[in-house]
Amino acid sequence: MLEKQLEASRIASARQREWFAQLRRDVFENGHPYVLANVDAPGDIFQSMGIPVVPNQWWAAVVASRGMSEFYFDGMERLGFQRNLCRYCSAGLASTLVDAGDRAPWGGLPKPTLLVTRLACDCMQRIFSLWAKAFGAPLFLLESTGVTEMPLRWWEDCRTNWEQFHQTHRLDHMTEQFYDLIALTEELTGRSFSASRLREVLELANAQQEYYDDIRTMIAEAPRCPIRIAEAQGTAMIAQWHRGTEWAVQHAKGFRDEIAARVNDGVAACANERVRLMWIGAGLWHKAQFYQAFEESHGAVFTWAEYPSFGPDAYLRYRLEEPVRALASRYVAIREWLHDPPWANAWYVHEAKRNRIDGAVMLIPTNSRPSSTGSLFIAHELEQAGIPVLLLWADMVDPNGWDDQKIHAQMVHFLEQRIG
Amino acid sequence: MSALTVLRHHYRERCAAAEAARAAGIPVVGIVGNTVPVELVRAAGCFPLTLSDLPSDTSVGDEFMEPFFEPEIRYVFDGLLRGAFGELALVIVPRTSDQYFKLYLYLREAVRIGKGERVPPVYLYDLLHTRSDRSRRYGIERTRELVHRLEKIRGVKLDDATLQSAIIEANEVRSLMRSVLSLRERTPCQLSGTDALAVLGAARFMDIRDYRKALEAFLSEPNPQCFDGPRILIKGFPLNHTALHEAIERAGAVAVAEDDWWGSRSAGELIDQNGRPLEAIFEKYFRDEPGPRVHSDALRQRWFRARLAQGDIDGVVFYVPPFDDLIGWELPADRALLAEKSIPSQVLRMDVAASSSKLDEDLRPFIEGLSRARETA
Repeated sequence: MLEKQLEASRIASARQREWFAQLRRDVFENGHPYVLANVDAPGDIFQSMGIPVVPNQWWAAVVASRGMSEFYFDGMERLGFQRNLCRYCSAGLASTLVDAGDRAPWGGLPKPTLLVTRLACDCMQRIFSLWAKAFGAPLFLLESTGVTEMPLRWWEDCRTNWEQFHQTHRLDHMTEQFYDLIALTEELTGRSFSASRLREVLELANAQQEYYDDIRTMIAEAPRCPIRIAEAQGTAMIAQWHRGTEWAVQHAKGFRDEIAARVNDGVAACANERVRLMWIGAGLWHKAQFYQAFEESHGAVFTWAEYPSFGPDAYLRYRLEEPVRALASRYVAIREWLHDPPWANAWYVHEAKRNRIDGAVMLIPTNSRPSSTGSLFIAHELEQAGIPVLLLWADMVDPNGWDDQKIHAQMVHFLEQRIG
Repeated sequence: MSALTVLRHHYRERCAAAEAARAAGIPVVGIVGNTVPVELVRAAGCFPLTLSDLPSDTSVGDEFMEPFFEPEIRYVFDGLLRGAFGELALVIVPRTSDQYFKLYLYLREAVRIGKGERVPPVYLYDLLHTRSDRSRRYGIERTRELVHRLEKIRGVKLDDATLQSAIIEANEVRSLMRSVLSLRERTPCQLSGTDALAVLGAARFMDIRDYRKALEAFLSEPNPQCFDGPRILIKGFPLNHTALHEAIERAGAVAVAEDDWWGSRSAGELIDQNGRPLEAIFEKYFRDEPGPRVHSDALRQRWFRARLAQGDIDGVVFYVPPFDDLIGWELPADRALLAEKSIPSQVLRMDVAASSSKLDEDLRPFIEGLSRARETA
């Protein structure tokens, strides 16, 4: 397990565990609704209706960090699903289809009221259809329209000028789908949607992201990284799942204050920091200790990961007069920003420069292909910008195929020969 | 030269007819996959050329396209970067698979960073996947935009009469293709799967009038083919080549059907000739063309179930190559369905285009088993 340096991390972990235990009690004992959603579904809508959301990828991270991935993927193979199917998005499905008895992480997922995913890749409808069938619960699919106009600096333009940034027909379509989703949720849960309540939720989400904006700026500008980035990523992600709540805002503020204090006091996550590394890709949930493995030997410190930076850049939305449309503007391209050229490469290069990055390590999970596409373009653009890149062909949740010795050797070569 | 020889030639020499069209001054439009309405391209006075083959050398594209992409996508990306398809007035990429969409983005990006000097203009046809009214309305609008883009190539206005002519022409060809398919459904089967793929697949590479003439000739020529071996249905990754069919037929069986837009699903339903032409063309591609993104599961499986229900299939070969990440999700349910119906099945997980001796080895016991079962029966 990763050594935790921050109080904010301990608070977030405890809160998440307590929240999930409460969710199970509410669902099993009190019959309350909850939604099982992919990470690119609009959780804020459910938050505004008082309906908890379990994000698929968070659950996958829980499965992996409890060392259960291999057990579940072996079980899936016995059920006839081949090993090379997408793992990141299906670890949760595996935890439902394969009975782990008492070993199920946190007691396992209860039956949701509704499952929601965006059809961003071809696997999603299959994974979620199987999952919905296994639970006997309804499924809502959000269409993912194709973008054809891609102004580069999305992280600047989308906060306020999102209406102009997105192609109107795409934004219209996503907005209309959100209204369909709202209608279905009202029907299934008996809860009423209120646009003004959604606006409040989005304002709280903005406040949370603004604190993350401060955090990422401090991390970028401090002489040495004040926090282990894997910890910052895990902590920011947990709190992201509570986006739109007072708790999340207060947590983000505490998180920010704690980092500010460390910066003021000159505290570094690794006193020996000589090389600043960027981690590109989802968290390495089954091998969190990897991030610290080269600190002592090479002074190599991971100082950047998607979170907390992605929050302020992708989630912040001002001009909330039409909150459903504003929210649609966040989700209409959220996956493309992270994975597709030119948006992804432009953002990573911008972040690398801002963070004084010496080298980038990019995870390419060949069995989670939608998370892997665009990798070579990103690598190309980083290299063009003078930032060496190491490609790690490994999975984020499945340790099968991770070869410690081989990857250690690759890292050493990269640090000594490419970065020097 | 027999009609079959002509059709085989065009299936093999996939760019030949497009080159002839280009030489005659007809603009060639590159098509990716099976969900671009080629009737619109023809109505605009252009030659639609489906870009598809087995890759031999993709070293140019490999600089930017990750190795887990499907061979066909790698072939198209590499070929467009090299300019291997000759001059194309436009390339139309549909949004009906994730990999197609990535292909579109990769091509644009290659151009943006100065690595795509030879890449022609690329157009995304954004066809959605759920069969909702909302998706339908969205798709009709995108189809109108495609029409406007195509009109610009030759300055031809695509009015209703022009589109109606294109529909009639396409329907006549689809009817002939269905006659070809019926040869396979007869007992004994009267067309090998290998030839069927060539005869049907040539449609994607030939001028439609020449193709129609060749099909009419093929159907009217005396047919010496007769296959009495076990009848195989293939389900799995689309096959733009005949390697698997050849192997099945070398082993003494015959591939009578495949859940695949290159084979049994190439013709599909006719386009409605009584509705508004543009919408009728759109509906054909929205509702009838197979693809990885068709939703729901039941809709995606409808053809497979219906074909099995005809009762003539002795065995099913599932083709799940290493680059597949979709078919595997359906495999357990498909196999359970076959078990219920007592239809034997075999799963092939290799790249069938790459290893013929291993393929023969894997198929032989399965097909011998089917032959023995037929004899016993």
